[in-house]
Amino acid sequence: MKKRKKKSNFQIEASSFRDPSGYLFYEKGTLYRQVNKVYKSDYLLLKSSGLYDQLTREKLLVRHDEVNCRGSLETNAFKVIKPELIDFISYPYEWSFSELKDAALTTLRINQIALEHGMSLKDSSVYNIQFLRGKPIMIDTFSFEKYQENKPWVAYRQFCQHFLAPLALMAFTDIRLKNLLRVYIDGIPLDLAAKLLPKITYINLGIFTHIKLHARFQQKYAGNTQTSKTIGKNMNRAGMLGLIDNLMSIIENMTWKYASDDSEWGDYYNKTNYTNKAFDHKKNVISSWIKKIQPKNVWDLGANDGTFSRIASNMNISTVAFDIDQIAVEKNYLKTKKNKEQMILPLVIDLANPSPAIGWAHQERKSLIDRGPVDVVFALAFIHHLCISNNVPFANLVTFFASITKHLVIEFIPKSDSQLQKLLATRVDIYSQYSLDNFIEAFSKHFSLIQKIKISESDRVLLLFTKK
Amino acid sequence: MQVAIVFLLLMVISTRQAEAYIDPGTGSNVLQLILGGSLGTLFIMKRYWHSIIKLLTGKKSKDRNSEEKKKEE
Repeated sequence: MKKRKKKSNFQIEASSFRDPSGYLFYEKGTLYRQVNKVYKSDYLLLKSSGLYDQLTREKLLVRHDEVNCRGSLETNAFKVIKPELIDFISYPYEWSFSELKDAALTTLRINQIALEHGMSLKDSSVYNIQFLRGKPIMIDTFSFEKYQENKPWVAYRQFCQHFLAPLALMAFTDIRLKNLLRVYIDGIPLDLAAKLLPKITYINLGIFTHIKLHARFQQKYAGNTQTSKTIGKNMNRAGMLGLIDNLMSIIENMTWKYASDDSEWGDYYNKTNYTNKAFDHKKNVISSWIKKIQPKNVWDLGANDGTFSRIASNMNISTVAFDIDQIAVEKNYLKTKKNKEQMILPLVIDLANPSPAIGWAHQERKSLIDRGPVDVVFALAFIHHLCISNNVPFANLVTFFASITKHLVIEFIPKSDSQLQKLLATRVDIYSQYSLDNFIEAFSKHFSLIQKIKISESDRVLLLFTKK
Repeated sequence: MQVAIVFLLLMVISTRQAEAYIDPGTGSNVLQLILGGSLGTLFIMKRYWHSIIKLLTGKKSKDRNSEEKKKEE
């Protein structure tokens, strides 16, 4: 799809091909969206009804400007718009429970407001929601169509597959089932979700109706195209509002109950080998390096609760706080919400198996590496997990870091450290190469060592590298 | 009403494997049309109930829409 209209300085966004209403493209590195003539009336209604104004005012839809550029010369083009940019594109299989829940509620709220303006959502893809300045926001300006009285909500099936099914599976079965979204790009099939949900959900009327019964209806009416004739009914506006209100109530009442002991990190910072002085020293060193580099963006790999990510985000730097621990990321997100933090985005990711490129031609959803590089990566008390727990050699680590960052703030933990000894307790020590000297030598292949500082009252070492 | 519930329960209990080729849109639409009547009625009743509470107490009720509007203000 990338080559569909490729010309010099003009490239269509690979994921933008499903909706005939228009497409995203880059011109001289700037992102634009072409509004096709077929979407003209709905686009004009979006603007004239006041829906665009209300949604952008409430920060529920990205703003855009109408512009003139190459795309506007196309015969099927009605207009070209330049949308507000998202700092980091994230995907639902990287979100915590509450991030997905808030994204679902945002989608339903947008549809409520759209109905008040005589429009409705024509699709409810979870990929239409992104996080901007700490809040979920709709990025697809073409998701609205004129509301047609007596017609059912065309995006209901998609909403249940993209939002309700994964949330229900996370809340009632196992939080890790969110990863099914990585396998099923059009949401979790409802018959699969129905099978995986525990029997207790038979007495949960909302889940029973919108997932289990829904799955049964999908099977029963497969191939039948005469919807309303089949049962001789129409769906009025009250019915539509009732459906949305019902879905909102179900999702608002969903909670993910976890025991803090289930967290890999839980009480990590209280249990680790840092004295208060060591902890403050580590923070001060990182802070001084960030001030010196002045990056536009930071990825904190192995961020835990975001303690060190906030050194960057509090300096108004766009920061993504990755961690493998669902509970740590959930807590971090709830903290960002509570404190109304705008520059930090907590995400769940397993760096030993990061998000791959998925979808049509491997281009619809990007891999983690494809979404980089960034100015700075933090890898604090982290790489020993990759080296010891996953047997990743230093040479492979350095290649990975060189592909995602310009500057690297990294902490080396020696073998004598009790945290590392814990990792070695249950395995044979085959890591004879694991030493600070070998580490620096391996990283020197792609990076220049700028500074090396031993943390006070600790054997741990902080290093600042810059890519050669 | 009881007959309808029994019918719906029977449909779910007798779940079978989905066919390879399915048309997921139609079943979703039919379910919505069935649900639409009752959910629409409930929604209207809920709105009236919140209006009555507001009239009697002079306070804004727990109606989600009024809460959203309050947030906007």
